[in-house]
Amino acid sequence: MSDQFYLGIDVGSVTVKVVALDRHGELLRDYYCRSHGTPLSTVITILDDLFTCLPAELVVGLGTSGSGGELFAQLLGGIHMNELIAQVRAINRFHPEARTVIEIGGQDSKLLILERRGEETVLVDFSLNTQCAAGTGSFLDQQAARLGMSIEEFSKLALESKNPPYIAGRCAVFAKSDIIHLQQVGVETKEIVAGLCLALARNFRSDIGRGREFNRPIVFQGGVSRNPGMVRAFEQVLELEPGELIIPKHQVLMAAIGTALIAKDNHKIAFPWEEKREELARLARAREGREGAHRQLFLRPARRALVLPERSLDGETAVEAYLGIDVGSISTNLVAIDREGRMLGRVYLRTGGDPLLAVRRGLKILDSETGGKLVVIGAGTTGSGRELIGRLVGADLVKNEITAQATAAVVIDPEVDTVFEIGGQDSKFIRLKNGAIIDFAMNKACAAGTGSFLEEQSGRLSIPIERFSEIALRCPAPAPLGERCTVFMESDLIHHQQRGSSKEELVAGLAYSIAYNYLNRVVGNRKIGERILFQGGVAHNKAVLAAFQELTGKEVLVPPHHDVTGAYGMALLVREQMENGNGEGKRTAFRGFDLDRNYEVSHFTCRACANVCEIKQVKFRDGPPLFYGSRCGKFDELQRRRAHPEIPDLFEERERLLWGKNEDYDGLLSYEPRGRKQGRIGVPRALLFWEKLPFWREFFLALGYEVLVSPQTDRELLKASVQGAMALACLPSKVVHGHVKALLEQKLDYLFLPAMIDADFPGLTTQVNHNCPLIQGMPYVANGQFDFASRSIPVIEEPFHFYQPRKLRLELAELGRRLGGRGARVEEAIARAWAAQRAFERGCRKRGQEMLDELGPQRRGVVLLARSYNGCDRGLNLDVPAKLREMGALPIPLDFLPLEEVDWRPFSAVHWNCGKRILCAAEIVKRTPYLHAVYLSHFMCGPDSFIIHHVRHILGDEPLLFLELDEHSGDAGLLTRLEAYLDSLSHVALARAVAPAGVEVE
Amino acid sequence: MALKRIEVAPTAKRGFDRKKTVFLPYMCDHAHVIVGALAWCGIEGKVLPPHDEKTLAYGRRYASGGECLPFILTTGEFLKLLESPGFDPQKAALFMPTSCGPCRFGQYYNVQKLILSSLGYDIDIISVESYDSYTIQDLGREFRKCTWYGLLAVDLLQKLLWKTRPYELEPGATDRIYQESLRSLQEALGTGGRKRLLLSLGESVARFGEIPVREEERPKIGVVGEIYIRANDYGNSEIIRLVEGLGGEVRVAPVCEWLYYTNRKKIQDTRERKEFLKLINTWIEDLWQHHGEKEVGQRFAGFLAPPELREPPVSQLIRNSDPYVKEVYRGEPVLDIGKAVDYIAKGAAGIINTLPFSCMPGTMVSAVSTLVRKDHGNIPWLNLTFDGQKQTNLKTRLEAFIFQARRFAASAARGRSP
Repeated sequence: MSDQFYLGIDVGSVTVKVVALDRHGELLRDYYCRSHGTPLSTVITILDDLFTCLPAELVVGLGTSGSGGELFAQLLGGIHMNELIAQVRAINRFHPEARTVIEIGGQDSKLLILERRGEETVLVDFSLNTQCAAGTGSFLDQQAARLGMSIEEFSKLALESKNPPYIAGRCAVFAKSDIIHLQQVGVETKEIVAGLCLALARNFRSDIGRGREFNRPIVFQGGVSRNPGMVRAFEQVLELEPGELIIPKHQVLMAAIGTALIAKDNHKIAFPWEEKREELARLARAREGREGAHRQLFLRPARRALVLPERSLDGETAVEAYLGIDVGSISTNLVAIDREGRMLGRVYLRTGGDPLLAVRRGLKILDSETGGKLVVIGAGTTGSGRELIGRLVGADLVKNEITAQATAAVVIDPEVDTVFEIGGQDSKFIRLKNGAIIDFAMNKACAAGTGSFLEEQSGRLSIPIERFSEIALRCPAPAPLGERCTVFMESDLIHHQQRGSSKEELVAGLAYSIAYNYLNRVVGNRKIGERILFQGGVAHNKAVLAAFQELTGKEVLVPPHHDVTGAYGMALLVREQMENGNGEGKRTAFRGFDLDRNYEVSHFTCRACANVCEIKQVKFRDGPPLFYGSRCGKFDELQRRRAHPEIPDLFEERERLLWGKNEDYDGLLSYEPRGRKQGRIGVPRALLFWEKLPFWREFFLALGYEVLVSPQTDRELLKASVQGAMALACLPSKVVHGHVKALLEQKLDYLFLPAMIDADFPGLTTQVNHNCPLIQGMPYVANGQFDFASRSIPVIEEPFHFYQPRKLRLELAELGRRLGGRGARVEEAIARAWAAQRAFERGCRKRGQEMLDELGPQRRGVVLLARSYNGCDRGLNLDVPAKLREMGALPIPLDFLPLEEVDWRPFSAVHWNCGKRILCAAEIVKRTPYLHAVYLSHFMCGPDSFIIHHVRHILGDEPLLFLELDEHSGDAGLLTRLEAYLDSLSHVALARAVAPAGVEVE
Repeated sequence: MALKRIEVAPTAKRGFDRKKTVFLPYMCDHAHVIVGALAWCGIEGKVLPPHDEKTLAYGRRYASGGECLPFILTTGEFLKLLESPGFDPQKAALFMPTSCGPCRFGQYYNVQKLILSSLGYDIDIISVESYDSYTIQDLGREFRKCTWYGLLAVDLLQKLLWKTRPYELEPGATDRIYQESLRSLQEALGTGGRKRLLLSLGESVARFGEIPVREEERPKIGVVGEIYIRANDYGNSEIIRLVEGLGGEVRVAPVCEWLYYTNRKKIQDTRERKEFLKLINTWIEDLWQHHGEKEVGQRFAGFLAPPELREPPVSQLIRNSDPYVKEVYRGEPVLDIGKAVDYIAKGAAGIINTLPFSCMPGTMVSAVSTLVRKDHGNIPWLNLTFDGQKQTNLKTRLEAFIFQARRFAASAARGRSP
């Protein structure tokens, strides 16, 4: 009897854990295995192995946990426990002193808050990862694979880091793109790895913790706790002493042990392994989740053949060539063409995390494959690493990849009207008309990584990417996976996997998902044309092609050399540049094919401002060094970034008008009243104060109060906000938290957090004119975070109805009384407030009118369709206005336009004030030549998701750039989109590049 | 080339063509009684099928990506209908209520109209503003009354369902009787108006009484949140069944609560705007609706007698919510918070707040929930967001939540009897 034992099985999303405990609860044997998509069969294999040393007859208790474990408990008579409860049981056994447990596994992150009650440690609160942050553990796996190392190497490498870069961590995909940009600007891998660990730890604290206290002692467990880099990151983020974080001895087995212990606490059972094994194995193999399957993928043969002209180098000795280099996140491509645009040679290779090295290797390969016959007379770079590589190789032209892809498409098929392009990390949609770009879209940050996602998921399913299509095309019932963001897709895939879908079904389902994802998230409700080219690395995947055909019901063609069309288009563009107009007779700056390591990468931290950027210096043997990584652009001396002092900075002018100061308005602002001081009122520099500050400032000053305005949104403040505010809201509403926090450091008599219900709008007669519900509820949300009453903070949280003047008067009078003002004085304060507000608005309009009068082909205006608080706050707008100016356009704040001159009646049903203003501005853009629009929105903005439909409708064919921002710190993608947008405005660059002589089509 | 401009302004369709079939999205079972009420008024109505994967796919195809789930679902359902073979838009009308803000719900109608017209569909959408308290003038007073009685009846039938099902001895018995009751309710309303509805209701209630049940102590879980997701099984991943399966009994905020709230708002607005005729009408309507509640409620008298099953008046909810969100904030948060506080006072052991991903009012409720918990003994509270994706961890979260709720109920019981 002494050999009797208890079994614990914990089925996770990526791994399964099995333990055997003796009757004292001591560990006899344990297994921790990756399940590779077949969790149930994996458990059976483990059990078969276990029972060769410990006989199955001696099992007297079985506990299971995890979403696949239930089956075993049901058939074998065990107990299925929720894994949180199992964890708590194990914590009671091994670390009853713990007050906080951080558990990060393959797909799930958990935070357990514990309390000691009598003899027991009990669960008082918990939090699991939200939909956005899903997949933390496997995210590390993915990144390790991406960087070409095992997860063990990855963990160790993190410890060698000295200056980890800041990587945004709200969502796995955001972090992913950050990493890719860091790689492209040459940050060392060990630093990236450590930055990644820190991002995850911060992400865990803000997204999972959501303001909960991490009381000590803190236990860190689950698969990810085996990563010493993550341990260090948590110590740093939670401000612990080294070694203070408790890593349980059985860190990955806690749930399995816990559930076995619970089984031990219960009755003994008979364990019918012999009779049930076959049934279990059958069930494990059985199919589930067939309902809702997609139609079988079927590849329709192409009706037209596309040709990309080539020229053989046989018998030649030296050929003049233009070189295009496309440096992407996943692949680096080089294409050489002759003066007639015919392809002379091409190279496709993996970027492998080091774009500098990849390009050097690619150049050598190209040179040797063409037998050293190429005489380069022009070189151009494109792709997300274009600036750095442009400097490395000596490029004559640096262009964004949208223009490059479109150029290639038009040359391959002059009648093309639609391009789908899916690469490793970026995807694009381009619409053309007569060879000119009329619309385009790039993946929004949360849908990034579609190409690499396919590879990662095939890796998860142990299917080589080369066999993907073959397997997918023969599956009769592709699994319906999600189609929104890759993190969601991944959780859906896991869900189906756990329910037993076959690999074939999942692979075919993935092909559909990628196509759906692309059509929904990238194309959106843009029109798809009739002549569609599918380009980019993913186009070789026949299953995805078949899915596109099925979903669009249209012919979709893959051009020859689809994987290097970006580089080909770039070569064509540089040819244009060198042969036409101002490029005539220009000598190329190309440095040659043999570029040995003529550069050094080092980095340092810039502490000039609170941004604390990691600056990477790439030093070439000759010429000035290149700097990358500063948020403010302090070190950037790129050809691209030309200062345009002749273009007025209207956003700066607007701030001067708004703050009533000509300089130094970034810090804490203080306005002193003229007479005797009654007290001090704090106003957060957030939300509607970005347009109504003049009103409130004068109102309070007239009543004798000093007004304090919190400082400009900077990195520190953003950080504090993201940590402290509720996770599921837009960034602009989150920063209220940081501003309130900043104000609470001051001595205040009142904190001003009004509920701004509605807004004034000249001439409007609709029944309502609301502000966004989150603006209306600003004081309540803030109170939920700060609990003002219990901290005795006096808050003015009264409602104000600016759209209802009579009500507003009463509300202001009441507020005036509360602040000690008497009748006439309050009346005067109100009058002064309105006068100041109107003066500000008039100032904006007047300057705007001057600017509109100056527009012309040489001075294009770009209106930022946005709210004042996200469009004009430099902490939130990622410096889009400054970037536009550097590119030679004139950015215009929305309220510089004569909005009141537009007939609002067509928009009267849009009940938000911000919506009406944006639509009126769109109307002005539509009818004003040389005036264009960039829609600047923030992730999770509710109103914008509806307003954008109307804006698209109003603008019709007029190109519109829709930017959805977040705390994403890398801005390379943003620059691309702005550049391509401005390119498409002139339509000229492309038209010139169309159809070079000697190209055969069809 | 400029597109034909589509006005975003509401063009109230007065003079509805009664020969058209009205299609209603299936938000919840209440849709069936609206069809019954339409039938009684001589109009054919049809409830669209429950949402599925295809609905989502259709809905997302024309969405900008950031819209809330109820919009995606209703739009998808309409498109699914319009693209179904042989469907004639000229003989049909779609039913889509609206409101005048501040949340996105008030924009569904406009954007749906925009999407449908840009796809070339010409179809009527019947819309009513909540400022009008969902009075469809054209369909008449009798329609309104019948609908109101039907809605009340379904609210109460659902209460019976949720109160009985967790304890049934024969699995499926309660669902069966509930479905049959719902069918006879629709039929009764369609053929005999309110009178027959009340009769049918009496029979149903009696049948519920015959379902054999067991004695069992279950933690009571209050469910509040955005109304569509709270009520729609597909949208909320069948949260009610999940909670019951894990050992809880649910109390879900009724649909009629929102209509009382819109009355209250209308009374306030018309008074402020000095529209006295409208004010009086609304007053009468409100009184009359409360009378209906009594009349329908009488049929349930024996079953819903316990005070914890009675719905407090909206004014009480607003008072409950006052320390967290003031009444001046228009929309669901005051009801959700007020109701949660009410549930807690009546012995609930946990609160679930359901909301669509990126829902602004729902986000408000989540944001203040920490404070509500703090003031109420740290009662277990789950904020669940839904965006149409299957959620691998939903069950895990619920399991642990129910586990906590049991503990909370146990310690509350200990607290009562030392």
